[in-house]
This record gives sequence, C-alpha cells and structure tokens, in this order.
Amino acid sequence: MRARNRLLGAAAIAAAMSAASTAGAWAAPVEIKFMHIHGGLSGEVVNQLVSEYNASQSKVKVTAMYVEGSYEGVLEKLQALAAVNQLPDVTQSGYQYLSFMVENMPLVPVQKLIDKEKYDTSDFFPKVLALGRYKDGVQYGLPVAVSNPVLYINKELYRKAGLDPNTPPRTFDELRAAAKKMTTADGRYGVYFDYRITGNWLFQAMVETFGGDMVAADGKSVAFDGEAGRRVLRYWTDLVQVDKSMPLIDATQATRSFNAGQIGMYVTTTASLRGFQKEAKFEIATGKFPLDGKHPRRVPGGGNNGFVLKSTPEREAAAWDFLKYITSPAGTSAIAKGMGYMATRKSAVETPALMGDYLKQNPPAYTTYTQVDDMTMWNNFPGKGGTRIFKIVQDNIQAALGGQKTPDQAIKDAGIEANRLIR
Amino acid sequence: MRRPSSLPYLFLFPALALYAAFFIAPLFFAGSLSFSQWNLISPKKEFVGLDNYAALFEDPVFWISLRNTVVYAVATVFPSMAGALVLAAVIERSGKRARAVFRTLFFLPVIASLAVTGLVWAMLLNPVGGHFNIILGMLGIRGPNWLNDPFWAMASLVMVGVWRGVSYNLILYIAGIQGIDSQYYEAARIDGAGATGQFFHITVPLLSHVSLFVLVVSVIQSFQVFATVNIMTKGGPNNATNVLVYQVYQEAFQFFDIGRSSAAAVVMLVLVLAVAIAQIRMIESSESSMAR
Amino acid sequence: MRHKTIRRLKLFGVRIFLALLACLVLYPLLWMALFSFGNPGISGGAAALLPGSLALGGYRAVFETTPFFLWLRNSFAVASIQTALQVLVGYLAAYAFARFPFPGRSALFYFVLATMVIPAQALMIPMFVTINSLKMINTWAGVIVPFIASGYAIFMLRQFLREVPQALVDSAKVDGCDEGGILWHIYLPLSIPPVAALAVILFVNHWNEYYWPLLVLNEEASMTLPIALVRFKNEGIIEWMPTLAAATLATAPVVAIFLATQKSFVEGFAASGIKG
Repeated sequence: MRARNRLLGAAAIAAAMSAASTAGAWAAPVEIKFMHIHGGLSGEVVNQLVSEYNASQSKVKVTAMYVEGSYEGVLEKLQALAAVNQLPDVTQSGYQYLSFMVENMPLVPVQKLIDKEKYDTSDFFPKVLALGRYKDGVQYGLPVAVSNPVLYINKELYRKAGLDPNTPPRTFDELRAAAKKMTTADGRYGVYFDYRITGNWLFQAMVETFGGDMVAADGKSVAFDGEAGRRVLRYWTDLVQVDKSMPLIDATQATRSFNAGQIGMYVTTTASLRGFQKEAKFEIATGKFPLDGKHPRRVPGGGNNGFVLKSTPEREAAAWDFLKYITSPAGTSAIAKGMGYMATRKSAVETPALMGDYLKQNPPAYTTYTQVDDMTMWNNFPGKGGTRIFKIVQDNIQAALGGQKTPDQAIKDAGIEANRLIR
Repeated sequence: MRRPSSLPYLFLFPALALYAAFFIAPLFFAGSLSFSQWNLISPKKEFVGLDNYAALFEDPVFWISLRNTVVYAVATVFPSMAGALVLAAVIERSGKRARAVFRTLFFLPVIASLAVTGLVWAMLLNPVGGHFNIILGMLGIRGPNWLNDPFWAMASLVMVGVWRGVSYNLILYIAGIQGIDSQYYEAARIDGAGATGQFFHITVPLLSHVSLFVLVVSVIQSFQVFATVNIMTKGGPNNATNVLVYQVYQEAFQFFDIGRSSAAAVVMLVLVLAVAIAQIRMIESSESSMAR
Repeated sequence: MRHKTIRRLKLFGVRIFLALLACLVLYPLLWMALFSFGNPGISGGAAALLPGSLALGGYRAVFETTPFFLWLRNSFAVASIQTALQVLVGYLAAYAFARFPFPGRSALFYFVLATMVIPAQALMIPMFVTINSLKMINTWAGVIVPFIASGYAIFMLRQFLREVPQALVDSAKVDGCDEGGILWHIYLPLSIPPVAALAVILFVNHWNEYYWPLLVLNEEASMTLPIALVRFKNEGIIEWMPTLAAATLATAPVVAIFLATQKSFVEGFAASGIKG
C-alpha cells in the first residue's frame, strides 16, 4: 500500500517536473563569465552589480573574474585563454586596444545584437558610444567604464599659494604659473601630468587640444611629430627641467604623493576621483582639462568597452543581456558613483535618484560631464606594430623629460621610427 | 669488476618523465615559434625563417636590453654571494638561540612577497616623500631620483636584487656551514687562527660546492629578473632598465609578436646556458685537479 | 677568567652588530607593516615617516572582502604538496647525478640546467596549452604537476650529495652494505640540513608564487593567497592599507613555520653525527 503510494507520488513529481522543464521554468540558468579589471573597492561595485543581476532573474548566472594588471593584464589573460579556447563570455578591454580586439578576437559586434532587437542606443552620450566603434563604422562594444582627463586641485595648497580654488587654471599657461607658485623649497611640487598612462592617452589629449592629431587623416603616417606635438613636449619638459614644478615619477608614486599633500595639482583620468577623495585628507576640486588658448578642447575618451565574445547562441544572448544591464542607466550610475568613471547615459545624469543628486552633493564629479562633447577616439596606431608605437612615443617622452634629448629631437625621432612601422 | 648499473636511470626516471611530459613539448614549441610570425590568436601562422632573429639583432632596444641584463647580473651576483657568505658565517657564530632568531630575521626579505615589497621599495624610493630621500635630506644629502634617472634606476634594481639575493643565498650557506665538521675549526684554533683566519681558511674553501651552486643559480636568476622591473620601472626610463626577459614579455603580450618574443627567449637560453655550463666546467675541473 | 669575558664581549658585539644590520635590512618590511595601519599623515620632514593614524581599515577590508583564511589554507596545501614532491623527485635525480658516473650524465645535467635557464614568460602559454590538453586547467594538479621536476632542487642537492666522502661509502660497502643501506645509513642522515634548507626555500617560493597559479586557477575558492596581494587595485591605482595588510598577514604564517623548523635544523645536526 505504502510502496504504491510512494511510487505514484514519485511518478507525479516526475511528470510535473518534465512539464515544468518543457515550460522552461526549471531550466538551469546559462552560466557566463565576465572578465574585468576592477579590484578593491571598485571590485566591490562590480560584485554588487553582478549579484543584483543574478538575483533579478533566473535565466543567466554571471561569474565575475577579476584580472590584475589593468588593460594589459586583460590582454595577457585573453591571449592565454584564446590559446586553449576558454575565452570568457563578456570582457572589458581598454579603448587603446580596440583595434587589437576587433582584428584578432572572436567578437560578436554589438551592432548585430542592437539591430536584431532594435535596441535603443540614443540615450548614450554620442561621443561616448562612438568610442566603441571601429573604423569600419561598426559598433563593436558598449561603453562600460568611461572617463576623460580632468585637473585635480588640492584646495588647501592652492589657497596657500594665494589662488582661488573656485577658479581653476583655464589655460596651460595659467596652469604653469599656478604650478610655479605651488612649488615650494621644502619639497612640494606644483603639478603632475600622468604622462605614463599606457596608449599615450594624456599625450594625445595634449596634442589634440594644442590643435594637432596623433595620426594623419589618411592613416599612412603619424601626425604627432608636427608643431602641436613639439609644443606639448616642450611644455612638459619645461615643467620638469626648467620650472621644476613637476616631479619625474610614475603614477603610483605620484598618487601617493598627491594624497599626502606633496603635489598640488594632478592631471589624469576622472576615474581617479573616488580614490583621491577617499585617501586624501584635504578637499579636492576639479577643473576642466586646460586649453592652449588658440584651439578647442579635444580629449580622448578613456576607460573600456564591454565586448561579447563568440560562443553558443544561448551564451551570447546571456552575455548580451548582462552587458545591457551593466550599461543601463542604473548600471552605469553604480559604476560612476562607486568607482569614479563617467556615467555613459544622459538619462543617468539627469535623473536625481541616479546621478543627479550625487552630482549636486559631489561637485568635483561633475566636471567630466562638461567635457563630454569634447571627447575623441583613443588613438590606436594603424598596422600590426600599432602598440609598438605606443612604446616608441613613451620612450621618447621619457628621454625628453629626463633631459637626455631635447623635446624637438625626441618628437622627431619618435615620428621617424613610428612612420617606419606604419608602412 | 663493475657491471653497468641501471640504478641511476631508475632514480632519474621520475624527473625525466615529468620533464618529457611538461618541458620538452613547450620548449620545442617555443623554439619553433621563433621561426614564425604569429600573434597567438589568429589561425594564420607564417613561417618566416630567420626574420625574427634578424629583426631582433637589428633592434637597438635588444642590444640595450642585453647590455642592461649583463650589467645587472654582474652588479648583483657578487655582492649577493659574498654578502650571504659573510653574513652566514657571522650568524652561525652568534650563539644557538640567537642564531635561530637571526636566521629568521635575515630571511624575511624573501619570505615577504616581491609583489608587494617591490611596491614598498618604489614608495621608499619616491623622491617626493619617500623615506630614503627624507632621511638623506636629514643628513644633508640631496637624494637622487631613484627610479627615473637612468643610472639610479638600474642601481635601485640592483639594490633590491642584492637585498633579496643575500637573503636567499644565506639559507644555502647556513646549510653548508652546518655540514662542516667542527674538528676543523678546533684544529685551526689550536693552530692560533682567529675568526677571520678560520673564515678564509676553513669556511670558504669547504663551502665551495655551495658557492658553485650559488654562483650559477644567481647568474641564471639575475638574467631572469622580471618582477622588480615590471613593478618598479617598467623598463624605463627610456629603456635604461629594459632587460631581456622584459623584452620577451613585452614582445609577446604587448606587441603581440610571439615570433620575436620566442627568438629573444632562445637567444637568452643559448647565452645563459653557455655561461652556466662554462662556469660549472671551469670550477669542477679545477676542483678535481686539487688534491682532496 | 679574562678569556671568558673577552669571548662573552665578542659574542655580545656580534649580536649587536647583527641586530643593527637587521634593522637596516628589514626597513622595507617594517614600513610595510607600519603603513598597513595608516597612510602618511602630514607631509614633509620627519613627520612623513609615520602614518597619520593607526586604523584597522586595511585589515578589515582584507577579512571582509576576501576569503582570506580559505586562501591561506589553500596556499599551505599547495605549497606543501609542491615542496614535498619537488624535494622527493629532486633528491632521487640528484642522487643519481652525484653518485653514479653513468654515460650521458653531463648531457642530462646540462639539460636540467637548460630547464632552469629558459625564461618562464616564454614557457607560460605553451605550458598552459599542455595542461589544458591534460584537462588540468583550474585544478591544483595543473598548478603543481608541471613543475615537480625542479632544476633548482636537483642542482642544489647534487652539490651537497657530491660532498659525501667516498671513504664513508667504501667502508660501508666493506661492512656489507648494499645500495639501499648506503642510501639509508650514509646519505640520508647527512642530507638533513640541505634538504631542510631546500624545503624552506621551495616552500617560501611557492607561497608567494602568483603568476602561474593565477593563470591556471579560475575559481576564487581554489585560489591561493598571493591573489589577495594584487586584489586591491583598480586601473593601476593601489589601495595601500589593504594591500600592505594582506602582505603582512601573508608573511606571518611562514615566519612561524620557519621559527618552528629551526629546531629541526639543530636536531638534524645532532642526528647526522656531526658535532656542533
């Protein structure tokens, strides 16, 4: 009697389960991997987003994979995983490697996915969205954590030098003068430009704002070796060698020195804002990226794309769903507020609950949005030796700043070597 | 009458089997890649013969890296050996309990992870607010820009290299000193030799087997310096601290040119292996010609 | 009477000298431990030599955002297993190289050297592909097995084993000892100091290794401690207090183990019959 009941019970359950699975309610979630570069507090933001996404639906389960070494670390890991065919499903990758990713990785261009479901991308800031567009005009990735360069000011030191923190330097000449005032005999420096950001990011920002370009319009030769490039390097070299208002150190050292109150101003990505505000014991103001007085501001967008990588249709769909989530107004706000990057969508900035209130309470965070229309593509040098040129330019910048070459010579040498690689 | 024994092959079998499984294929693969042009991902792999080697030898950065590597090796190996040997001898004479404490203390530079100690050194050497220059300032000396001056950047790497190298070699020399029969020291003392006499006439000669190992391994490891370069200078300023292994890494993972990376690795292998073998043969042949 | 005082003074002098030298040598580690409790406070001058505050925020971040003790346990397991296997396989090979002049000995030894010389960066990806074909990715086996044959271990032990006097071996043979007996009664007792030293060096190496384990292991639950050290970074900006806290915490267990094994250094001494 009991055995028969048990058997009937088991059969009933089995029937119910098979009915449910055909209805899809019991289908196991599709598991995908998301590779990202955010550790520490920023990593907590990512983990939060991921667990919120997983909790909000049962079709997709995302595992976040933190990779150390920033964008270069991601490339290393991707290369290794590609060799064994175990690429993640969604990955971040720095804009300076857009060409490499498009030309070498098995990507699913998000354009395809956008077109398929007629996804509305008009909410993204146009220039920000364009950062993920390859030279063939196809949108390959969506912007995940984006930034542009801003000027950070230690308000206390600025005031001490007799300057008003509410009026940050507007031009590079004003900045130079302010830096000289803030450089003291007891070892404090006036300014630090992060000339070492990979991909020549800050150099590009300077060259373009000085009216030049990195590469000629026809893509057959470099253009940073023109007058703009020379003026930029002369400016930086003067700060280091002549005014001695800029220390010749790397960003890790400079960040710690700035936070300890030993450097008055810092020009780098807006993504550093949260870190500075947390570690520094003084109030920080931000100003727009300065101008040269003759040309409009043009600054490359920094940060990274989110890419969907080729695999099975269901994993690609899952990856796309997740990518849409982290680039949604809520997602981009979480990233911007938690980490310091820009929110990528207009609605996010305008909605009080998302970014609106936060920006009112944290005015330094707003500066980056005032430059959103000045953003250009992060230059990827053409040809197979593209990333090699990054190093050539960086080496020559270091040679000039260190006094081993004159700025003009350095620019010239960089141009010659770079052009040799572009052919 | 000695019949050939199969015993040594038996003892060697586990190691050789593992090498065969895990090293030989990758070794040959890496070697063959040096004759191709590939970026590790795309299916097209071109055979280019000796082009990678030619490009490598024509690249001035390669020669700079090679020179830097040799300079680093020479500057690091001898202080690391001599310092460790002297320190080991002194520690072993500090008394039984003090010995244990000092062994631990002086081994700490190796126990702490280089991933972080490298960063710590970069902060200590920061000309803006780093302790080295602050303390030098208090002594009235103007400290250099440790990591961004071509000479001082290399000096800083050597400093960290010796700091760790002494720590590493210390344990080996201590193990060696423990194997020295105390009767030798007794006899020397009776003959009137003081501490330094005993050091030079007993300790040093009787540790020659350890010294050979330390020498060869230190040379090999100094040619492979990577972590400190990657953390502290990234090969800069302007290639002043670019070393061979850093080039191997950059060519593969940042310039996506596995062919050139493998070519550099092969050149390194041939060069360092030749030096290591030469050192071993020189020292062991002179050992066997000495009366034992 | 005077002799004894002079000796005591000399000993005292040695200890003072070593203590001062240790302070100098350990300065970076003292910095590491000190600043794990706070960032530099006031800038400039001697005040910058101390943290501005003493806070536990870094330690809290480590314990709250990482499975620290799990990783600690993992590191201990992986490092121990790797060390034990490397010592075992290395000892056997070194014994062969040291004791038996067989044909091909030089060539094989140079091959072992070559495996030490080839830069790891060149081998990473091919090795990764190899362990993938053996389905060992994301497993501890993948981290450990490829490197069990260690040229460092083989070369080091070979050097020490070559020092065993032939006279001892000959007299043992005369006494009727077979190969096994020679290994057991002669070589092994004399090997304790070098094996202990090797084990310590290998263990510490594996404890701090992160490049290969990070490449092979994908799951947080199986990762080892070093990942905690590189965890607190974002696009190159480092969170100092958690990083230094993690590094200080990672150092402590090894120091404890090392101190504990000091006793076996001394005991090994006595067992090998060499008077200290």
